[in-house]
Amino acid sequence: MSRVYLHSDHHHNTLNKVMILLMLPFICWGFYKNGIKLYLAEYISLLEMFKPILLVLISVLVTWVFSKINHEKFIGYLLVSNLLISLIVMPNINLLGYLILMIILNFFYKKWKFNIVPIFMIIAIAIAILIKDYHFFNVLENSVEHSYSLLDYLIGKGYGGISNTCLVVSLISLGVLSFNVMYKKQIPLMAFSSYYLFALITIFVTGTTNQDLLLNNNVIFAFVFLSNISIYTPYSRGGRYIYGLLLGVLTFAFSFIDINLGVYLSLGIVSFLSPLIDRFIVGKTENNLVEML
Amino acid sequence: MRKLIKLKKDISIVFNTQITEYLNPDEIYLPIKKNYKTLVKKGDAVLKGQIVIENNLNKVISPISGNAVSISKKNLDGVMTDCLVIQNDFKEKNKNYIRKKETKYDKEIIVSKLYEYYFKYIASILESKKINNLVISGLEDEPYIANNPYIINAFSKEILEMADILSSTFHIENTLIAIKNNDTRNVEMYLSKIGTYPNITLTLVDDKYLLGKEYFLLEHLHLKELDSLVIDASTFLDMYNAIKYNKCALETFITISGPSVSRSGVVKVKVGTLIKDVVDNVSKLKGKENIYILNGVMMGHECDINESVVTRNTLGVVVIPKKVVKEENCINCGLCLKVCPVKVNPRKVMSSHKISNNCLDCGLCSYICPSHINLRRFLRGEYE
Repeated sequence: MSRVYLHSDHHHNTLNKVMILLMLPFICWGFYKNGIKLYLAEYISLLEMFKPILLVLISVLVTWVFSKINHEKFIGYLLVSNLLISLIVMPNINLLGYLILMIILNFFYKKWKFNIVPIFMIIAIAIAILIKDYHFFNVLENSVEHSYSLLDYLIGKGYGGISNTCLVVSLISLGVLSFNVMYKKQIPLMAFSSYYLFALITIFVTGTTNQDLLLNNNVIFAFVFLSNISIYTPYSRGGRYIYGLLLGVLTFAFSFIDINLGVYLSLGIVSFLSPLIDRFIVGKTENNLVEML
Repeated sequence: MRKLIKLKKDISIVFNTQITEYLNPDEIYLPIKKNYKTLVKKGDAVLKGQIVIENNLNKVISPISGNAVSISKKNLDGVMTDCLVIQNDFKEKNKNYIRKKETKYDKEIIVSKLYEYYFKYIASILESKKINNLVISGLEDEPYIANNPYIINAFSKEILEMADILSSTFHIENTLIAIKNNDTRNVEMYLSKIGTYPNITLTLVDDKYLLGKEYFLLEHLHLKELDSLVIDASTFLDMYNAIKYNKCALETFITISGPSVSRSGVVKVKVGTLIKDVVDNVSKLKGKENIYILNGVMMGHECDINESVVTRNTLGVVVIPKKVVKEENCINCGLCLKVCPVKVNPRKVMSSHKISNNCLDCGLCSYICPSHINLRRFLRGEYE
């Protein structure tokens, strides 16, 4: 059988490992903002202080158990997805509910191989809306009136998940990831461009500056990390541009319904469309080649 | 222009600085292809240069003198073929093998000699087209194969002389010698010698995979295919011997290298030599479990050296330790599509089982794949 006996340095898990490393500062920030700070202000108990860390540990544990059951490698897309979920969930998420939902989704993932992150978030937000306990602020932020400046947003205040609210780290991560050959930088590029184009048009038309629209932690974190889980995104170059464009446009459109839910809803939709986008682009490219020949 | 990449070599191999020779094999295996007739019988004496197998168009010449002993099946360029086995008497007795040195050259003489000595493609191009650019390539694409760089170094005088003859006879505007820009040994040597040939230019190209192929080299040098001709150094040397000395190419150059070879290098061998004889006589192997890759780690294939024979298409053998490469699932990274120089979609071929006619079998998709999927086999239609 023919084969190639020389291989490049690229490894299928390299990007996953880089992503996991880049999540560490977020986890630390989440532990400080939604743990230590709230405990010191006596808003939460000592156990609740460790919630951001416990969420991460639950994700790691669930991944480890399912990797053993399914005889798969521990470090992989499932670990990245589960860790990402532990960063983006609402600060008031119930630990038991989190564990149950994680187990259910990881169980079905083996069968259908879907993008677990937006599905988890859509379900979690739906449940939160149903029980009327839906917000992306922690108890301290909820209890006081606040008006954040640009600097506040950059250092990690404002709307967002339990450990994903540091805009400046998201942007640094984008820079670091862009140097990785397996990171599909066309996706965040198009997503950011299209989203901000529409956002700026809206600001221009309405004449009011909506900082939550421009500096939403969930949106920026999702564009940098969640939109780039390789197995759920197109492999063709054109497909990535379309994917990013759709993601940006849909996120902007859904932001009128709910700015935090919108990005996860649009991620869920484009993840399912990804194979179709590739098929469309590859077909088009081949037709063009045939015409050229 | 297409974006080509530089291959990362796992290990750095130190080559012998000189070309070694192995010209006295015990036996020679000459292919008896379909519709070819064997002109000698078992036990017949055979002379060096004697035609032993032929059909209407081609002839197979014995590179040694000895006796025809049997017919045996051997692997020639990956195909099991019946071969006439000639046992060497080590006397090198020649038949009709008078080396008459040619001193005058004109277009007709050169073209007729090229036809006579089986350089039909080059002869037809020189005969039918006005060539403005002649590129003599000292490049080798395959990692761990070094024939052309070594030939262009060891036979620089002959190559420059032949280039000069062709350039003046066919009024070629640009005669270029292409060498990789990191091949310092050849760069220094040609810079010192090329001054006496004002019509020949040294051109340095990047160390990138596939620049050894005519199409990509011309594109890289911004030359048009229509009025350009690329000839690699080994063919050019054979042309020199044919045109100047009326000498048929009975020998060829192959590389024996790899991490499991103690002394890697380029070897001059007789066509038809068993590869095992060459490996055993010119190098010592390290380690016990090795595999032998014929014609390079990118485009070659694993072979049994006890059954494989040197042909004119043989580039060399790379000996590497046996190791199992585990294939992972495709992760949709798209690197295979990105790196393909002819824009074949290996992922689509893998899923649809439809072979693309454009594929060069260069192996870049398998090389780059982070999941180590053997895409090359799908592109070659090997689905089992």
